[in-house]
Amino acid sequence: MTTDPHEEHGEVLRRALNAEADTVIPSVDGLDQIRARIEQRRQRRFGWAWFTAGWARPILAVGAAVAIAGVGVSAPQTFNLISPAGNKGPSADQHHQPGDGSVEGQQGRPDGTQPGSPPGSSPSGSVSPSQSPVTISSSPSPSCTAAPAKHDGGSPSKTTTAPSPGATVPGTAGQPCPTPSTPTTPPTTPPPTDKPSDKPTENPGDPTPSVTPSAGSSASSETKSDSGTSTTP
Amino acid sequence: MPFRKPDDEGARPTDVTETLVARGTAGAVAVAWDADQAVTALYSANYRSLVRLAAMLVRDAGTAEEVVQDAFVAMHGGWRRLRDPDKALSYLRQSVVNRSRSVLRHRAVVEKYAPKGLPDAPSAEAGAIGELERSAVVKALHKLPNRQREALVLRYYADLSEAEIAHAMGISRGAVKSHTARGMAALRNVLEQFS
Repeated sequence: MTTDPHEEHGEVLRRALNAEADTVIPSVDGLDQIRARIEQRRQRRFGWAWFTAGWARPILAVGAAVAIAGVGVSAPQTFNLISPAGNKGPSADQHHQPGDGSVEGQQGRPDGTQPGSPPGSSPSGSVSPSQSPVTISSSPSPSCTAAPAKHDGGSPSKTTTAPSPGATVPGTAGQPCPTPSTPTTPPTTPPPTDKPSDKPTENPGDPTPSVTPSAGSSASSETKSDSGTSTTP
Repeated sequence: MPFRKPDDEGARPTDVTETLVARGTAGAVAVAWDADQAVTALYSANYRSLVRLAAMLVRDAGTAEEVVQDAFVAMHGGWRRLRDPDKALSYLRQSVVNRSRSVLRHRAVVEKYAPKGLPDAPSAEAGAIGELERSAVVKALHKLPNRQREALVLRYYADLSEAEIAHAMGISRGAVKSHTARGMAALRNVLEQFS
């Protein structure tokens, strides 16, 4: 057969290879070394080294940046959620209008439609964006939506047409809720209410003109006269 | 023979490995346990032969041990992907061949830029005829291209079939035949001296 010389050479090669292989004596602790490497691999994969690996550092940095940005973005909303509850206590004592922005915004809107009422916020444009997130945060009072009829009836929105459409929707939602409480709480309101009591009584349950005089006694008459002029047409 | 005829001590650990692998598919908890046990069983059955096979390919016992240990570690890591118990030894063998190639490739790059060292001193038993034969054949074998040397080692040392050689080398059976024939033709002059 043709394989005979091939197999003959193969036997020589096999003999030489086996002789060469017999000279190789593996170490005795090979299994221990394998187990040590397996343990190393486990620790490298699941241990602390996984977090300190070079490729993981950029991922951790990006993740930390995203987390910080998320906290920063959500912080104002969180503060606004917390601030109405926290500021209602001290505001109820003395600072009725300037105390908390939320109550001020809610009351200041009907009064704020009159130019003198928002004491803290000079331009009406600056007030409206500050109020809009507050009203959103104070949205848990959906029962107050019935009030817009009063606000429309008050018709101060005619004077400030630009801020009112944008802010009246959230602002009106929060208006009536404080308004029933506001005429009761401020002691300053009764004196002005005596004079314009006739006019508000024409529109029963409209405490908004009674609040506006509270900002200033001298200005209240002017504002009421303005409001009266505005309401009369 | 180390791979094909584990008559004296290879039969028992192989059976143990197969049973371990068969049990490894039972549950996820047992898989990790069986991986360790399978490594132990395969080590006791095939570690020496695999180291010698790697030594034939890389010409260094220490590097051969590292190659085989890496192959065991890789097999342990991919143990869940091994479904057929017969594939464990095949996986190890293929891994050893591939890693030996990587070692030789890296060594070729290193030797290309490293300064030439002194030639190896002849061993004490260099005068023996068997040693002459061995050294001459091994020296000629190491001059062959890697694929031809792998095919010859797997064929004449590991006693693998052509299909097993093809699987271990990642080539076709026809390529195995070609590499084997060319390698034997290259070694013919040396082999004829001792035949």
